[in-house]
Amino acid sequence: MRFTYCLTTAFVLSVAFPPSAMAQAPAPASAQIEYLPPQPSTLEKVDGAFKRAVEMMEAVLFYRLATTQRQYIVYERGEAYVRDRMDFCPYEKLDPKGIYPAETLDIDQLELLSAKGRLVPGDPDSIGKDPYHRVGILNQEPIEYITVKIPHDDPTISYGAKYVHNQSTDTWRRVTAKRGLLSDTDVLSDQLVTSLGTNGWLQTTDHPADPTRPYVLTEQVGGIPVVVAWLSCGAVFFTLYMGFFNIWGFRHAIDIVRGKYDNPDDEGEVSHFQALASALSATVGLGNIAGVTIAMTLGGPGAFFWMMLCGLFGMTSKFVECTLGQKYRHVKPDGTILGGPMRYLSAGLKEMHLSLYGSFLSVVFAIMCILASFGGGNMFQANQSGGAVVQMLQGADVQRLSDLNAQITAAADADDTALMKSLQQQRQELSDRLTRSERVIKPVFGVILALLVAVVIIGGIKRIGAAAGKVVPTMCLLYVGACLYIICMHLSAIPELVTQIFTDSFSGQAMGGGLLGVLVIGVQRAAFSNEAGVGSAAIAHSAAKTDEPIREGCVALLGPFIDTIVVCSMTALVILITGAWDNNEWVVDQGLQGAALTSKAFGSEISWFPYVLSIAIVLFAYSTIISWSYYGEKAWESLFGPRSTPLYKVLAVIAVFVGTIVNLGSVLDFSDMMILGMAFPNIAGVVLLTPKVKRDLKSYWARYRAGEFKTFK
Amino acid sequence: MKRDNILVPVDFSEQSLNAIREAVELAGDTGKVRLLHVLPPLESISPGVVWGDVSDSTREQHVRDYAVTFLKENGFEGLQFDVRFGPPGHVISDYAIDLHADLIVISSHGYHGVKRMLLGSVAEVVIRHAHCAVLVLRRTDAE
Repeated sequence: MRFTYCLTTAFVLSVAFPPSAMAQAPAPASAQIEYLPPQPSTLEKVDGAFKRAVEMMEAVLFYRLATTQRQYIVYERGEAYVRDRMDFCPYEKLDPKGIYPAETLDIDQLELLSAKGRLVPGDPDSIGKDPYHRVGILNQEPIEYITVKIPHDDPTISYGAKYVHNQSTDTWRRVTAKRGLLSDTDVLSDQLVTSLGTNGWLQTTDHPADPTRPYVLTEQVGGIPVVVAWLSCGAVFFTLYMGFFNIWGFRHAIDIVRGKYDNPDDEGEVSHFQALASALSATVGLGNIAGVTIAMTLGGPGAFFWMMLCGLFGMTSKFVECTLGQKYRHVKPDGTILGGPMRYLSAGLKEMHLSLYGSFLSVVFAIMCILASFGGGNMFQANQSGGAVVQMLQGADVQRLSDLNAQITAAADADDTALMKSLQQQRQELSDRLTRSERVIKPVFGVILALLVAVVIIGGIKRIGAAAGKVVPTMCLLYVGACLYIICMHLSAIPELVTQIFTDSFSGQAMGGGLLGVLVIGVQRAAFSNEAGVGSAAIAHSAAKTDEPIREGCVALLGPFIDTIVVCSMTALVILITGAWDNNEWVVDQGLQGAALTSKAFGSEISWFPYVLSIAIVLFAYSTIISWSYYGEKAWESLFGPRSTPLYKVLAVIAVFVGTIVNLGSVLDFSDMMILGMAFPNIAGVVLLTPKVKRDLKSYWARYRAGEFKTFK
Repeated sequence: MKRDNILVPVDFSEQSLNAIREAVELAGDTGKVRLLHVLPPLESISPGVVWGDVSDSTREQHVRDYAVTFLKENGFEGLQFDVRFGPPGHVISDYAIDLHADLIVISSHGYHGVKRMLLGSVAEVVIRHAHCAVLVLRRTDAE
């Protein structure tokens, strides 16, 4: 079976040099080896198929406008040791003149080197040989090989270190692990880089920009993804066109939600407050807890400012789309409502004699909405909450594992082989136990979650859905309360933080993208969280009891306010004020990100809060699944009619279960991307319909001013 | 052949108006025609159910009110109207048995393609399960 590896030529990554480059840069011995990655498992193949779809989607949605090209190098000096495939003898040094002293390496030496972090990771091995080797081809012979990392004389140049070219000074600056910032101190001269390159100690490419320097690599950085630009332009346009209604309509919105204008005899399903709560239960969730933390660790304090701005302008996007949702909703004979973008895009644009365009947008929206509900709505939520449950149940053991790793490295550095081996034995047992328990927890959680979803959406047990919905506002308050407590504990740090937020938002660096980089990260995460411009909330808001569409639009503009300006900013402030965003140990050493980092930050202030947070994540995820299933079902209904929705419901429940057990990055990415993708058909239609909203708003406001509206409270 | 007990399933579309018209003509008396509207099960995840007070009884009331206006507007005031919940094809057939109907007059939407596959045809199910004669009216502007 192992020899099937060499048959999979499709996966061969050749690291051979073009002839011209060979003359300039003598290839290191290891470069003669052709690496054969292991054959993907069935799951990986599924993931691979989705990956291609994701790449296509990404090429469109996240096509970056206004990118800049930069040159970089990666230090990768390694010493190769090889043996024939299927052999069990020690590995032999490939290059006799190589700098690493050992002529051969046996398994004991490999373990020691691995514990010191001196080996390039191997491929996972199924036969029970050492886990350090990779499989390749050398002189047409199948081999197994080990790569030992060779540090440079200058200890700051470590294996895998990346340096970016600075044109003005013709020097190369190190990219740091935190936020991809460029170091001011770790700088290499161009001469040194050339000598590293000619020695063959740098990573090379088959298609170099300059054939004489195949080790100089190029990448595109910065720029704005199309979808982010689309959402931002939409939000800014709506806000300007409505004359900053998000600000001057705010007080009136509060009055409406308080029930001042609630007429129980109006057509619809729920009160204004209930419609808002319903829409919020779909948006408040992982985006607020995990997404914001990602924005802070990638973008720093500057991203906070742009996130808030996105929330503020997003309020008008929500206002416009939800007004339209209400205006063009369809009240069915039984009094229930079908509304949202799939209605207003087709019916609204038909009024403007654009019925073909409208139907097209409406169908595209509905298809994306269905896929988004399976993916971002169900699978992603189930996957992340499953992760949170595993983390909660295994928390102590994971900490022990990380302590053990540190002890093993220390023992290896002290060349204490006996201690190292016994620690490694302990680590192996512990990690086996963790893997075993994870394999049990995830499917069990998946079955429970899928059952809880099924009884509500298929079984029609209304009480569970109602209870979950009502728990969300309580959870939200509890979460905000905990955040406020932590912020109050650090009150003295606030002035400095505020200064930093403002200076970094215009000058900060993130992902090498400068101002634009920070802006993009902030806006993208906020848009993910509040879904303004995506159109989803219009489906929920159209169910409100009212005969004034503008009134429900006013209510809807409170959504991004609560979601982004209140809840997201609470998370962001906690992450900033506790220093979690800039914490070397957590972010770089332990590689924590998203929800795990949020949990760590809370835990450092309130020791028991991570447990509450895990429960909150599961409840938020559950209510998001329920709400998004409703959105997906309505989109399905608009495409295929109400009688076919049982099929949708079964698919939605399956998606929940599948989401918890598989770890298919691309499947999740694909589906998550669909949510932002919905913004394309939505905004493309809404822009044309805004004049109608503006006219309605004018008339509504005049009547409001004249005191024509009956109040009920 | 004279019919004494005709059942007409209605979904308030233009086609169901044709069916009512046909049935009244066949029976010769509005008292011999019974209309039935079948509602899909309650959406337990809709905002109205989770947050508001939408239930099957409020939906039934809405449909009855709607039917009164609908029939009045189209000149069929006073026809007997009933509401049931469930999968339409089977509910209609079962209702026809309970009613001892001797004819079901039903309009067909004439869906094709995906919609046909997902929605099936109510008329088809009724034909297969009904205990009495079924008159299917072909939609004039079928898809």
